[in-house]
Amino acid sequence: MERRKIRPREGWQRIVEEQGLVWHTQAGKPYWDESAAYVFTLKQIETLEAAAERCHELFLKAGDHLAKRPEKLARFGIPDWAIDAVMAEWKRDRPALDYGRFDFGWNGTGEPKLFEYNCDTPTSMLECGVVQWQWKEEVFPALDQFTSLHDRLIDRWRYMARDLPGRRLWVTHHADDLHEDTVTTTYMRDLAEQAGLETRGILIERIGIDAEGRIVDEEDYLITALFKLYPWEWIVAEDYGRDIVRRMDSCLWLEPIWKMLWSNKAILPLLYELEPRHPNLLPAGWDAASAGPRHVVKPILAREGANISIVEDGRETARSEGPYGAFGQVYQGLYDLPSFGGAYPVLGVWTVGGEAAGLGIREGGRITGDEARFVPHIIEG
Amino acid sequence: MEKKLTLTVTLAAALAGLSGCSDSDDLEYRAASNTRVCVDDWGQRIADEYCEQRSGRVGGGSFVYLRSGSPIPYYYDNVRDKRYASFISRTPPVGFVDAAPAATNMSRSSAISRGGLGSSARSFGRGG
Repeated sequence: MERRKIRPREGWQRIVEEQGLVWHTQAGKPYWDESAAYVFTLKQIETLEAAAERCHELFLKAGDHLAKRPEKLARFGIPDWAIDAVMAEWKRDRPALDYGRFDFGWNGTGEPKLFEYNCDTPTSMLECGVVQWQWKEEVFPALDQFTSLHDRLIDRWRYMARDLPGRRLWVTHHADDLHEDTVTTTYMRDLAEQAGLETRGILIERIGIDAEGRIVDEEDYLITALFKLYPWEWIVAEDYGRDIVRRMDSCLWLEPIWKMLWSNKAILPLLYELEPRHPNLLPAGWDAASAGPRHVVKPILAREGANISIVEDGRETARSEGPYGAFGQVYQGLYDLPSFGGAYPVLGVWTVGGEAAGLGIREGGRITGDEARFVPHIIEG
Repeated sequence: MEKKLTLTVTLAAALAGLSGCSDSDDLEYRAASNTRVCVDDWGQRIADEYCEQRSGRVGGGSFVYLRSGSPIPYYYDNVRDKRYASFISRTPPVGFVDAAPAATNMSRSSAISRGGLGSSARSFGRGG
């Protein structure tokens, strides 16, 4: 694993914009950063693939464990009235994309260590599935890259198509200022349509509810299958949350509500409890002692690296601010990210249906926040 | 190998000149040829299987026929609505008759409220 400096393509901003990546520059700095690339051997990529697939199996095991021991959900921050629905949907096992991004720390040797699993509203999908691949094709056409996300998602939609009434899918998101969510959901529509589905977009604020508690689109058509780029913990906290949970049968939600189990950092202590010798786990628990003298404190429900602190031998050595301070927090052993001249990469390995599907690298400080850059990669040797 | 994108690149091009966007689409489908739809006794469109009197089918519906160019009703839309008046017939037309496109096989309800989702995004900002 190596970080190599590379000359960016002439007019790269226009090139990636045309591919949909309109948020390539943030606060005047490149978010898409092709002035460098990470270089892996095939053997290293195979290690990452195996780690992600092993972690996916462990998450399945944890879900089954919670189904038998639902009292352990008390620390997940899920409203009491929603827990039965979450576990019922887990047991019901309705169709799901079952996609997500395992974020690992790794220096290319030994085993990657899992930080978290982003599987309810994972972003950087377009960057991983399309933009870095097109970059690779142009700059290193003879080399390979760990990127099958695009094709695997099309295959997954094709596999699920018969379970969507009328082969129809609604897609929703919040209209963010950067247009990142807008483009990401539009990209998902592209993939679903290539799989033969008819799709329709709707902003989440415009969804309505009928007298029976079913969700409807802007023209009052019942939404029967909905892909949402909007976290479940937000949905259940909002006005329609109770109706949506009560009428779960009226719509195939993608991803399903049981993703509240997996995308919640409260699962990290449980994973460690289930398999303390797992090669890809860091110690994790509900107090500092369980994570060791050098640890990270994370809110159970937070995004973009917010509200995280790093503690080393009783002293806080790094901290990020954010709006998630009110939630419970977990403690996880500190993994020292490799530093490449002050750039610290986190390796996001995508899986679809439990199979490894690609690698996206975010590079920032010791805590990977929303200012982190996306840096492409290649496989050499 | 090129990754095929249609909607994404179109949207990206549009966003270049926009500060905000709506994903709203026009949902009205029109018959490309003579098209049959199954309706119940009250004129509401129902699934075709209710009109296909084969063994094991539920029955209870009858086909009506829409001329080319007619708007196609969704499930539970009423074909007695004036939108369909100039296009509809109970008698099968001469020649080929299409089934309604699968895209129109969905149901309509009536919203009693809107805006009950989305507030957290305004508090917390970006998603995953």
